[in-house]
Amino acid sequence: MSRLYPLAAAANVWALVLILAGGFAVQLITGELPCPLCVMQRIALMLCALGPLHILLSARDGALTARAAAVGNGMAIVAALLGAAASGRQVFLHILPGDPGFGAPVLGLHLYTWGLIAFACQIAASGVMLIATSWLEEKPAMWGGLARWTAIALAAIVIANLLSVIAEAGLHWGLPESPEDYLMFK
Amino acid sequence: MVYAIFMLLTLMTLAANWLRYPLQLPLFIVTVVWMALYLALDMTTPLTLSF
Repeated sequence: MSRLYPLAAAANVWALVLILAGGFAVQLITGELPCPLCVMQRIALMLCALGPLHILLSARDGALTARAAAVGNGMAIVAALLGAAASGRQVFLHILPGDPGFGAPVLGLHLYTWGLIAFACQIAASGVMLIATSWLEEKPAMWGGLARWTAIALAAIVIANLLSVIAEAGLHWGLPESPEDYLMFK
Repeated sequence: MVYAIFMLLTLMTLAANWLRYPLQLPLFIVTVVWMALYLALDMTTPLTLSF
């Protein structure tokens, strides 16, 4: 279990990084800019990833403690609740019959619906990880390389989204409800 | 800009996590609480106006 636990945490971070990269790819390919609630959900996904990353970084040069596992999973659950509130809000905004929703659907569902599913899965995964701390043996297991590359991947996707939102908002405090252009270049 | 600040705070939390800096959890909590308040304002403002 001492080997599996950091691996599961790394898989969790990479899953969230892939979801963020997918959202970013949809933005670049279709040219649809994310709305304010979409950006909030992206940030919540990033905050979710900080939890399992905390677990992984704690195990990079020594034994993983139950305390680090509890803190990391707690961070992920709190951030997932925040994200679920944002995506749930957006689902309810478009729930009336005849409402086409915001943006093009992907695999039959809008991105905010996928977001709500992702946040629910994150809460479930963190709950399972918390239960699994019962079998955690605090033995040293070196995960330096995996931790470094996972942190770099997450940092890269955060920076890409940061540059994108700066271009989208320009010098404005918020974002328009349905953004159509990068305000920085207008 | 506010979303860029949220992302910068997230990036700072990640850096603090990497460096094992003790401000990691306070930064995370500030980001989550600020975002929750911002979202709550967004949720309640149209409701208030509709009355």
